[in-house]
Amino acid sequence: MKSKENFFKVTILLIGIVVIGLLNLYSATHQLGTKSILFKKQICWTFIGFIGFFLFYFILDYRKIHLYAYHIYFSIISLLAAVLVISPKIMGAKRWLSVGMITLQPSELAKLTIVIIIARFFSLSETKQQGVKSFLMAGLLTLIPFIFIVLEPDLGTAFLLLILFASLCYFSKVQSKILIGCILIALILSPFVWHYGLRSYQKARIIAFVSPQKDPYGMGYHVTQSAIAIGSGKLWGKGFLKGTQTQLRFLPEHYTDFIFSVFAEEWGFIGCTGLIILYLGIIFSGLKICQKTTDRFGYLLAAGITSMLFWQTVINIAMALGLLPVVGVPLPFMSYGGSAVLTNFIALGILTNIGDKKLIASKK
Amino acid sequence: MPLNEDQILEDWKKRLSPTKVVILAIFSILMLRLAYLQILKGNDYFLKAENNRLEVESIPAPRGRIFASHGVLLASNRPCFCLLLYPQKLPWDKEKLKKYAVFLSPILNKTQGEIIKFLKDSLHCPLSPIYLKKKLTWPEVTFIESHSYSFPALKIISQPLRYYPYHSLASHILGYVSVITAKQLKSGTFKGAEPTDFVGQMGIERTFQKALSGEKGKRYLEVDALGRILRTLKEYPPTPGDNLYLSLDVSLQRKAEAELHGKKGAIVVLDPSTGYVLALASSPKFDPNLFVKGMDQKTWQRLLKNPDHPLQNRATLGLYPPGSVFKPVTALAGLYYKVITPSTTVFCNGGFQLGNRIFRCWKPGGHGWVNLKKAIIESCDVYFYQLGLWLGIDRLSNYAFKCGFGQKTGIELAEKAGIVPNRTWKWKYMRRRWQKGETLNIAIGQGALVVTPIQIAQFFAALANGGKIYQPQLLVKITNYKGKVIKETTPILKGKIPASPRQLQEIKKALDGVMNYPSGTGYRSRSLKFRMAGKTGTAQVVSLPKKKGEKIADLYKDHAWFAGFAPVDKPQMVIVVLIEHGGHGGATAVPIARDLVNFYLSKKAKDTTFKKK
Repeated sequence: MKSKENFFKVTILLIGIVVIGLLNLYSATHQLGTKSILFKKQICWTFIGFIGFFLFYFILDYRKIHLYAYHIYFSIISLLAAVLVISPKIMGAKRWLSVGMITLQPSELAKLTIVIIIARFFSLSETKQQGVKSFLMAGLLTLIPFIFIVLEPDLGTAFLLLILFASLCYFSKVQSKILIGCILIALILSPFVWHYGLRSYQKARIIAFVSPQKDPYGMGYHVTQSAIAIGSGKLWGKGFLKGTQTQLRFLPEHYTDFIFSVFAEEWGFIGCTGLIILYLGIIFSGLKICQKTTDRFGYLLAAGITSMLFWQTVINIAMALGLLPVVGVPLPFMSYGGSAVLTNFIALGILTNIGDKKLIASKK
Repeated sequence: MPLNEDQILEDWKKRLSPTKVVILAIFSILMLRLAYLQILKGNDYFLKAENNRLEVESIPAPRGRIFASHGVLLASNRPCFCLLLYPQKLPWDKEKLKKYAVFLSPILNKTQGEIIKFLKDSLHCPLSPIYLKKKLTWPEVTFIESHSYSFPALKIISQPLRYYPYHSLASHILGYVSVITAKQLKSGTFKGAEPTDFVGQMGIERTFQKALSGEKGKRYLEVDALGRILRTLKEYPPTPGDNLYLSLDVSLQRKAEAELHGKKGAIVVLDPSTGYVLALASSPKFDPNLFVKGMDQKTWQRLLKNPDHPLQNRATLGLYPPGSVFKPVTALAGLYYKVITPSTTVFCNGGFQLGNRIFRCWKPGGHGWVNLKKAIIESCDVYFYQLGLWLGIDRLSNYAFKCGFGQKTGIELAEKAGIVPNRTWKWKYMRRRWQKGETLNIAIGQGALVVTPIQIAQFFAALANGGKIYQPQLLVKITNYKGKVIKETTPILKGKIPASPRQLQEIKKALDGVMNYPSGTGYRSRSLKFRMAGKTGTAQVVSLPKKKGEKIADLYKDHAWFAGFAPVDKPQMVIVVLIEHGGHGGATAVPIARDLVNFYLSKKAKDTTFKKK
């Protein structure tokens, strides 16, 4: 007996978010002239994403991923290296790889890859708790793509990799001593990173987050304008296509990083609550799937994918709300971006695959 | 292994329940923040969003025009396209800033490095727009407009710019306009001024700045975040500034400036019966158009540091010892205080001894016995030394003050009051007691006494019209842009020379003699067409022991003066000529005055006969 319970639930939630996401992206881009093509591109990517979602759900067995984890890992590493070597600089950063008509952003794919490789690595340990040795090994596996992405530079994504690694450490019960030690080291190192590691625009973003009024036309501009957009939506929103902040382009980057502000302005508190409930639904389905897994790899993979969706959602929304500094983390299924769409769809495909495969497995 | 596997998995799954709590907690924080922004502060942010899309833009008002008499246009406006930079809209990343530099480099004719530095400097005051270039050509306008999408910090505005069709003509009267300086903006000298405004900086432009500037219009625009205009919501057109009509006679002014060409000095011509200014020239002059377009640092420094001070209006701001043109004041004071009568005589042997010091007359051999009339006609110094001594400094300085010296005339231009020294003045500034010898010097217009040419003109106008001191005026009327008269001036009678008509007549006769007696100092250069009266002056700059045949450096040469009026019986013009370091008044200043008298009076005669026909 093959249950498709998880599949149906997630698919319905997914379709809900995707429809909202596309409508919202239309609103954000339809007046942008040449950039209104982004909407059409996103439709194509969503279509491809659904194919990936179905493929991974129906055809693939997630245990195959266990087998090919290192293949996937090293191909992504080479893509990341390729980005640094051959891609042109766009807006001061090297993030994209062009293959014919398609531009890929390997750092997006790296998020899922990290989840896969760490899940595989920890699932093989023979003790209840992960020791220092396996922690350091897993840390090294994370650090390689992390460094590549920092060099692009794409600090948001790089930071997200660390968070995913930490989440998986948590789920696989890495000794708490180690985690506390890491936090302490991070705290001690942070002033040095601030001084020597960050570029001036990155510092400016953090300063702008702490006090946006200091520089209302510079970096603080994003933060201020985003707050105005969200706040002005009030309870019911201004209505579809009627958000003045968006339509008059006061919001920068509103089709990627600040897509939530666009939605919040036009749909208000009510709409936002609905959207957040949809995200919460997917995340809790993920946790439910985790609960029912029968093997450690499946458990860690599901937990990792759920973490990935959760952290991206939370970081993006918190940033739009002015609760976090401006970092380039897209909102899953809402922000524009082909690679991100593909990654998230495939991740959900794998997640539902894990959720429903267990019964087949027990049948064997 | 499998057994162990299941145990480990169950153990790991214990982490799931606390996870749910953490997830719910984090989402609650997001919801609370959302509720705070959208529900609690929703109305505030809604208003902010509304204001965000509105931009109020000022529409510059065309400046009022300035006319001379006969409706000759002296200052008007030409519509020009100007390129403005809004620093707050500049991108902050280097690559994009460089794009600006590449784009602007050929337009501004500067290197990219210079432009990048300029752009970075401009960020110090991000909210005040800066003129990058005025008077753009058409190809430039179309080129910039076609790229406006990529360069939101640049904006082309159409602005009526000041234009002076006669360039340097009457430049010291008109003054000039230029973009308001940061200092003026800060100090609030000009009410309601914006950083891109042009304001009058000198002359009539400065004095009547308020009337000329008009009222700016307003345009309410809906804009996007990059300042791109989406549509105009409302527009209030500007009210052009008021037009000014001056009493200036352009042909006479031009003639006066031509006479001064190549010299340093000033000419003032007034209508003696009203005090209206017919011509007021100062040399060297400048082209006010330069200030409108804005000049580079080099030109500006050259103008500012020029030792000849071309920006200074010598007619109202130049302080000079009057020399012998002051003698009529001393003479009148003598008559008024009854120290002398017209027939009082003094013997001049070429010098006047006071204590152990000898005060020399300009004529080494002396004039012999001189009475008042002869003293003025031949400009005998000894007579006035004696008269000064009899008067004393108190009465003399008091009288000079009543004749308008030592105080501003009230003309609508920046001016200086000059100095009429007396005991209090000397004590105040030098902490010294007054010496009798100084009185002697004052009596012949030397010493610490300094006057402006306009004060001399004001006094001689009063001599010509029977004693009435009129305030020199330039403005005849102000009309609004529709042509309706707002203000019309009338002659302003400030006072009278304290003297009886008979006493004034005495002086007038003497002044007539200066020009028309063969012994008069102005006789040789007099006009043969019109009967002039006046007084020459040769004012010493520094006293130098003169040796025969020695050449004197230009800087130490005497100032040449002439002050007078014509025609004698019915004066129509008062004329004052001052040539700095011009040497003898009779030789340098009188011929200029004669030419101007001939020019103006024959022109006037022609005009009246033409009218009669």
